[in-house]
Amino acid sequence: MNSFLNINLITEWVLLIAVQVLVLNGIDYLQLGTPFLFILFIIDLPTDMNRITLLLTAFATGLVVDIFSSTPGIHSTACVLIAYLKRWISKALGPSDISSLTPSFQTFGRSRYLQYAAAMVTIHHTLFYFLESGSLNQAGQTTVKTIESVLITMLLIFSVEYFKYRHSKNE
Amino acid sequence: METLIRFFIIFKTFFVFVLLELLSLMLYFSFNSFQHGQYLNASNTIAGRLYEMRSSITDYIELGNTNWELARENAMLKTQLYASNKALEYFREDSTYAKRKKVAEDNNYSFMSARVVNATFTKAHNYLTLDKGSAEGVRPEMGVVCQAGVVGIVSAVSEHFSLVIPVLNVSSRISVKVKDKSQTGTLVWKGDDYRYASLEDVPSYIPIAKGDTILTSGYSSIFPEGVFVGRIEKNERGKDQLLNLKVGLGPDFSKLVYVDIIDFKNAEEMKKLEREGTANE
Repeated sequence: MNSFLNINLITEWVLLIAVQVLVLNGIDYLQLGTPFLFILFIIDLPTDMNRITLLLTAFATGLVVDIFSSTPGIHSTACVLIAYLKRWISKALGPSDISSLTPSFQTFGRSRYLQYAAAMVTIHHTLFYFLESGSLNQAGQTTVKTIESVLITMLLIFSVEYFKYRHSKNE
Repeated sequence: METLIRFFIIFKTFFVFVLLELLSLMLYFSFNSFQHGQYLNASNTIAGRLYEMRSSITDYIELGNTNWELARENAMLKTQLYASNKALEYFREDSTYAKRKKVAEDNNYSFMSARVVNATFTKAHNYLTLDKGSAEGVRPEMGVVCQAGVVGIVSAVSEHFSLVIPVLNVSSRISVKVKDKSQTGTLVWKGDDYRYASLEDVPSYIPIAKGDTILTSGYSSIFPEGVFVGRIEKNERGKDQLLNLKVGLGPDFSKLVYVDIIDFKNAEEMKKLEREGTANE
């Protein structure tokens, strides 16, 4: 598992969690849903990564964010689920040959990448907000929150990926 | 046996998945409830330190407003000080009134100022983290107020931080009364708008008007009587003929910076008495 020890991946992991915990968790102030950009780490992990390593990574990532957000078990549940479904979602929505790719605009193509990311984000956010509200009594309100949150997260993911894409083209 | 082992090997990813999900959900169900919040949450010391660092930066943004509020509070306190000095002058000689007053002061509530280092207000279960903990004498079930009104109740403490369940938490219930009407009720939050809470357990024949002031009832050892909570913003009768009482909350939970933790010195004694009283029944 070379990719697991990759220094770039570790930097990305630390960076995404720091941004999530220190900046994005405070976005409550705008009275919109909270974006969960850190799941971009799970979204962008290579498609040929050992699935058990992927599940453990997702669990650890979710747990760390849980500890910092007072949401025990909620992010880890949602993250493990999307990590488990990642293979099928990328097969269904990604390019025809995904044997060993790191998902990005370049490898997936812009529209396929965004569809794939949107599916992952929607599943994570839906599970997160329904577990967070703790009941189905306020399903309407929870759905509205989920939709707002998905939209902001997707906007942020688009910005990050677009920046990466431009950056890699200039090199 | 061999078939069983082969079966496990083939579906090993699935088993790891189920195992991790069970582990996560176990965490969710055991830690997420009201009382057990203290192990894996923001009162956790590392997280607390990190949030303190963040808030030491973000506090500057609110500095202008905070200064203004402090200045206003200073002015108010000076006024009060002046008034009480006057009163003391009058009662310098030991009279029955002065003695009674002394006794009242002895079991008084004392206030401890604390800073909010982390807060949420858009979830259903919101929490605040304060920078005072057991080392400074904070205990669970102490009340938390700010100048603008009641904030919440301490639920867990670590050495230097404490976790508060604010009014804005669907599991929060605070005993309140309507000013001048001696009618008590319960303040709850429905999980929607951070500016409003609801008043419940009020009989529908009680006339409650828009603009009525809601204060704490003093029926528990947590808050003294008469702390401002909010004002009635809406008193409509719903389809089910029940009064829907919407309370505009005093504090702006999106801008909390400094709060006061209330220490009721005789809380233990009062609780003990109530426990013994009910046990003897």
